[in-house]
Amino acid sequence: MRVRAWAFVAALLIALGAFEPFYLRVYRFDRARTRAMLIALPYRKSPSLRPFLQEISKRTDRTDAIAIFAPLRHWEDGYEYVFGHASYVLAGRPVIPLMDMQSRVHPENLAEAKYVAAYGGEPSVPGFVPVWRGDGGVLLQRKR
Amino acid sequence: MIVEIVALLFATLTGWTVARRADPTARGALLAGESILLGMALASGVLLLFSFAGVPWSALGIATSMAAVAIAAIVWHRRGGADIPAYAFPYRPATAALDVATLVILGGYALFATMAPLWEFDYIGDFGLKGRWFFEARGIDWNFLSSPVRLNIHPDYPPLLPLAFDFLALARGHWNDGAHGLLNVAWALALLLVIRRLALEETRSHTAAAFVAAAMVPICASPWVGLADGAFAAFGTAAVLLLRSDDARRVTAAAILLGCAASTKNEGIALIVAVAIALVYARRPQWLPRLWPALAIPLPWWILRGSHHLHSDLAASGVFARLAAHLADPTPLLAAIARYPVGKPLFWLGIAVALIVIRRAVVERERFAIAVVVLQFAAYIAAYLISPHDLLWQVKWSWERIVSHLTPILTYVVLVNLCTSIGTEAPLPQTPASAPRESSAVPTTSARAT
Repeated sequence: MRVRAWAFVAALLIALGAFEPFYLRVYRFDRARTRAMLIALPYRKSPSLRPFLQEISKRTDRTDAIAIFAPLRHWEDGYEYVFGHASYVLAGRPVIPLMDMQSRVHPENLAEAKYVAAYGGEPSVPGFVPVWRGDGGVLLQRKR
Repeated sequence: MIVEIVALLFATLTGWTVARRADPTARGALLAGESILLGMALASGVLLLFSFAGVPWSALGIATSMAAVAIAAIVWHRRGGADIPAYAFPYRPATAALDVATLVILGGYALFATMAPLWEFDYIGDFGLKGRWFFEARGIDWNFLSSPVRLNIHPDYPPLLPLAFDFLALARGHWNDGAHGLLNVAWALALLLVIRRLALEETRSHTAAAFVAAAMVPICASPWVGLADGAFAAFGTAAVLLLRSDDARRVTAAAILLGCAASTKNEGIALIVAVAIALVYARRPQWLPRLWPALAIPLPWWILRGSHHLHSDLAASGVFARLAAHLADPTPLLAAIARYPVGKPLFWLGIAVALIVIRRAVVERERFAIAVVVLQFAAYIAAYLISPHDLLWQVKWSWERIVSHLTPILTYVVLVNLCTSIGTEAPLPQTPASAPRESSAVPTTSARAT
């Protein structure tokens, strides 16, 4: 009898302990608001990055090689973040890094690019001209 | 999202034919759960084969190939099915209430998982990123994986999950990351179905089985939507529980699911080793040769990633030096583990109390499952010890997730033993209407033939 009672207590503790009330509360969430929050979540470090990349996606073709510029000195201090998100949103296009994982800058990679997506700044890049400006940055196109 | 749901149903249908062939004991919820898992694995496998053969992916080509596999499985299927004794268990109002609770909680999880385009950093920076690049290339993009700036996306990881995203994208015709959370729901549902049926067979009570399933919804529903942990836990747990059920007819299905786990995460390799050792420990070494599908399924990927020089970051040079350093001073690892909690204290208190209550069963009957959990856990600790990354960082971002791989096995073992301790219901007398030839439950563990 004592074993049964303890077994019952243990089963109850496990069920209550594992229970996740969030999965019941979610039925009453404001879906539109939660959705907007979740969409913004991966870009919380740079809120303007998502609309910027979406605009770049709209303004370039799937075969266009796009170099990613950001005024950051280190790969792990932000460039990886911008480049990683750009790689996802612009997937399929050749997305060219201008920095390697050891934080060495590679301007020579511009030779492969048709566009430069410059986030967080407007660099002067020889051979490229601005074709669009937005809140997050600027899109430069190779001079014809 | 309708298109993706139809694609999932199509995959489940093809998986059903494979599950019937692989597991002659599969009935009801177990068959449904295995069908979901094997269907999605089949979809990913066909995409991988197309890629290896250099054939660009197309929805029609993939669907036709899956249908061909399904037809072959039907033709190959042994007639008659397994000879399993039939039981009819009482289905009481309490059972219905618990099953409804399971559906309501799972429904809440489904709402959460599909509320927005997937937001997890490791989806955008790893699993979803790979899937999207493969989809755009209509095949595995080796140039993308081999790029020196892509080391952080773990190019060596097995591709079952990214390919599952691609299956949905091919059905849709474009990348729709707002629907990819459906896969997480599918993994959770599949595992819960497997659990529901196995618990019924073992406890001989619909109410007990429904309680086990309801209690385990949050444990089976991975909160990391879009990451591989939910899929890995589903494949791995289903495999271990099938082997634990002590029925030799389930070894092939378990081995296939084990191979799928190893095609989902590198941790699956450790799981295969853990299962093999645990089988020997549980005095079932005769099953080892029958685990060959567990190795055969992920083998092509292992060969190809080797040929493309895609290595795990854990294998970075200096493995033994890191191991020696961490063993000489384990304080940083212990401090990191102490700093980041795993789940809820009340739950772990319940597990601790339960293990004391069922200690005899653990020693006598649960050698296999407990050995798997312990060995796999040891493998995770070993991975930390050889990790080239900062331990605090590594533990912070992985500890809770990797423990979640093992929690379903442990919880299931504990709950079914507790339910058995509390008491079971006697089966109703068998009737022709309630017990058709292929609709039956298997006897208790001790009575099952091996």
